[in-house]
Order: sequence, then C-alpha cells, then structure tokens
Amino acid sequence: MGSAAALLLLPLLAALPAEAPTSPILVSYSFDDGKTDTGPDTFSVFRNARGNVQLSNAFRASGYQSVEIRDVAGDGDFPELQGYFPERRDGWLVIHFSLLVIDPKEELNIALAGPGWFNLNENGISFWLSTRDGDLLHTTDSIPKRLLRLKPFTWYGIDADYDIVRGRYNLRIFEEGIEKPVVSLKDVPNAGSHPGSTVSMFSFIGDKGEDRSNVVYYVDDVVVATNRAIALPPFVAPGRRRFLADAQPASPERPKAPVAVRLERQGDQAFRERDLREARRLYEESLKTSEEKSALLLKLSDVAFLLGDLASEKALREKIFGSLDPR
Amino acid sequence: MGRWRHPRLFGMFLLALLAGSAALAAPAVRVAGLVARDDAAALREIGPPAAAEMIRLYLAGDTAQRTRIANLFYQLAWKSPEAANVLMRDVHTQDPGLRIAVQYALGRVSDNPKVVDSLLQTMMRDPNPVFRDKAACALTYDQVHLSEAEKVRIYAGLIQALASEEPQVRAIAIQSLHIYTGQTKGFHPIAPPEKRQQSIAQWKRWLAEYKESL
Repeated sequence: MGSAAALLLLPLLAALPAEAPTSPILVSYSFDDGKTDTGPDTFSVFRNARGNVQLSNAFRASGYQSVEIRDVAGDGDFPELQGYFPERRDGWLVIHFSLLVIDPKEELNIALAGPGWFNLNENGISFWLSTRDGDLLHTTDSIPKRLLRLKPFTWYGIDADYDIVRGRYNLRIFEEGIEKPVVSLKDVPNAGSHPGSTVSMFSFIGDKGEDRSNVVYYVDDVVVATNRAIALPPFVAPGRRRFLADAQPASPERPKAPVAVRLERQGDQAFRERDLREARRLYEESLKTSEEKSALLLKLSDVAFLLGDLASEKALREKIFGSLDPR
Repeated sequence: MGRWRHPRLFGMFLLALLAGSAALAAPAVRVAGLVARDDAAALREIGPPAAAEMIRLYLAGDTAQRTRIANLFYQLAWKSPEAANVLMRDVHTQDPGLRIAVQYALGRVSDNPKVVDSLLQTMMRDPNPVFRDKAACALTYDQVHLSEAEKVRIYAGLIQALASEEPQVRAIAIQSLHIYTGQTKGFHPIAPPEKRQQSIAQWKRWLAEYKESL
C-alpha cells in the first residue's frame, strides 16, 4: 500500500497549528471532533502493509475515541502516526498524551524530533519513549533507561516539560487509578544530550523498521504547547476508567430494533444504574444473537472490572485483542 | 537505531520484496540457480531453509562464489550460527572482495560475541586501513541481531579504540560511536592527547551508566 494512499485516510483530529500565533498550543489532538485534515501542518498517517492507524472507541482516556496503532511483524513495513508543528528552537515545550498498551512485551516507539529526523544527532530525536520486554523506557544521553513496568490495558498519562535551549526535560507519568505520579524525573538530558536541539514533529510507531513488533496500542489527548499554564486535558480521573456503556451506548430505541440491540440498551441502562449483575445478564443475552459482538464483550469486561473479577475481564478482552499469556 | 521512516525510504522495502516472485521448485537445484543469479528476493521467499544449501555451496565454491553467497547472506539477514561459522573461516582472507563481504555479512547472520571481537580486532589491528574501515562499518551498521546488552561489547571496544596510537583507528571509532549515539563527547581524533583523554574519560563514564541501565 503506498504512502500517498495512506495520506487520504483517517478521520482524526483537532489541530491548532501556526495560524494562532498567540496561542501557546502548537498541537491538540482529541480524536473526538471528527476533523479529518491531514497534511504538512498537521499529521500524516501511514497504514502500510498489514499494520494500521485508525480511530477507535474500544479505549479512550477522554471523550469517546482514541487512535489505535497496530503493527504486524513480518509484513515488510510499519504503521505510523506522524505529526508536525512549527519548528521550535528555544523556550519550553509542554508535551502531554495518554497511552494504553495491549501487550507491553511488544515494541513501540514514540518520539519528538526535529529536522534532523529520527536519529540521536543534534536536531534529531529529543524525547523518545519505547518499550522493551514489558518495560517503558526513555532514552536520555543516548542510553535507554527503564521507567516502569507497563501494565496491559491501563491508561498512562505522559507529561514532559522540555527546555529546548538546555536540552533537558522533566518527566511525570501517571497511571490510571493512582493519584501520584508513578514516575517523576527532573532535569534529565534529552535523547542525544544535545542542548538547543530543535523540534518540529512527533511520531507514534511500532518497531523502528525491524519488522518484529505485533504491538497494538492506543493514544489519546495529544497536546504540544509552549506553556505549562494551558489547561491540559484532564487525565482519566484517577481510579476510574471510562466505560463503553457510557461512551458508546446501544443505538436509540426504534420500533423494529433487533432483540439484541434492545437487550444491549437495557443492559446499558442497568450498567448506568450500577446494577451490574443485571447488566451482565442482559449483555450476555444480547451476545447470543448480536451481530456486533466486540462492543458487547468490552461492556462485559467493564462489568467484570467493576465487580472485581479481573480474570474474567482479562478473558473477555482477550477474545477481541488476543492473549497476553506467553507464547 | 533501525530505519525510522524517512521520505526517501518510503516503499523501498516493499519494492524489494515484490521484485522476485517465482514459484518454488526443488530446493537444492532452485537455491543453486538463485545464488547464481544473485536473486536475494527469491531466496527470501524460500526462507531460512535455503541457508543449508547456501552453506554447502559456499564451502564448495571458489572466491567469486563465496563472495556472492556472503553478499546474499548480508541481504537476507537470517540469523544462522552455521552460516556464521563458515563465514568466519574467511574473516582473515587477503582477498579484498571476499573479506569485506564476509565482514559485512557476519553481523547479519549472528549475534555471537566472537563476531564482534573479530571485527573489533580487525578495526584496531589489521595492517590494511581499508579492512579496518570496513570492519568499523560492519560494527556500526550490521550487528542487527544484538540486544542492547550485547551492544556493550561493541561500545567498550570502540571506546578502547579511541585510545589507539593510529589516528585512522581513532577516527573510525568515534565515527561509529557518533552514529550509534549521536554524540562525540568532544572527542576529535587529532586533538592533543590530554584533550582526547578527557573525552575518553567521559565515554567511560557514559559506558558505566549504560551498563547500569541494563
């Protein structure tokens, strides 16, 4: 599949690029407002080979959608969400996004880079997160260092304040359900230890071209700004994920709606009233005849989560996303 | 660092994959024919099982045949200890074409530390500057099966080479380190010795921190 074709895809974002010079916001992608502009001032989407980048309502840190990035090992290429903003040579950058990984053992790479492209040279990568063997790493002073053990199906909020002139950043990472940051680093050298390294783009990919990753991950609420004073999107309220019954309820009531849809709608209502056992019964009944099983399985996994049945939650999600167990 | 996308690279890998697409024939005969035609794309379609026949052809072949097969192993990048073993037999050959082809191919078929050690020795001690330079290239670009931990061996060797008496060795060592890390830490191969020593001390501290992070 050619990259030109890939550029035509994607219903994504809300970007606020250079036309608002007084705004501290360089980039803001919520993935919820249906704007579809790809291009040199916003972003490119590469859906090469069997990998994919697409909007998804399976998981979201806020709103009702996020972007799913799915790589396939051995398919000869890798998918990518690549975004652009006006080149910054000095001042501060505030970087924020939310990240959820299905299988942390699969490789992903996320980078903020400049005109030197995605390498560790000056004006190349300044901020680089990656995964290795289930850990989240950042590369600082050309050394990949472990930050934390990633949990599957868990939202992480990434906040970095980057001093471009000094080439150093502060990094905080929040985990869904935990109020205090699980990572808090101050004044660490940028990826290649290059003070003054300029930045103008960011990228979300699987592996770096080695074609060995089967990662599936979700990104939401991407913000790049010049001032911490801006109102960053609230990270998922600590301790509470957004549930599919809230974000994607069954279609509105219609006289001839299929039985499965009616049952799902009743299940949603029971879920909202936190009658979880009734919600589960209705969802399971709906599942027997529904043609849209994915949403029902995810809703059942939300029910299992709220009932504290994490084994069932995992099993239900694995019906859609595959097993996390060692292969 | 891998091949993070650049506009000039778009599609090249796919085009290479699409280049050869003949139907499979009897493996041994077919592999010999594909080797004779330098057809890496078609060999890739057969997959690593073709390596055994390629190794047999390598052992039976003359210098030109060995060079051709080493170049094919380089392109295919199949991890194969058996291929590494036979290639290592020619790692010190004085035939320039075969020597360089073997140096390049070794890292792409193996993660054996002996390969890294051999290339480091060639880079630092071979009397021929061309072989030294190509060994540095192989260490820099072709060690595709090494983990971050296994790369410590390369970094340590390159930092050791910064102290070489031979300016060209110092130059290719810092060039390789720069490609790996994006940094020189102020090292210049013809700077005064005390200045070089300061940079080497920085590189040693960096290596210690790198090891700690593993």
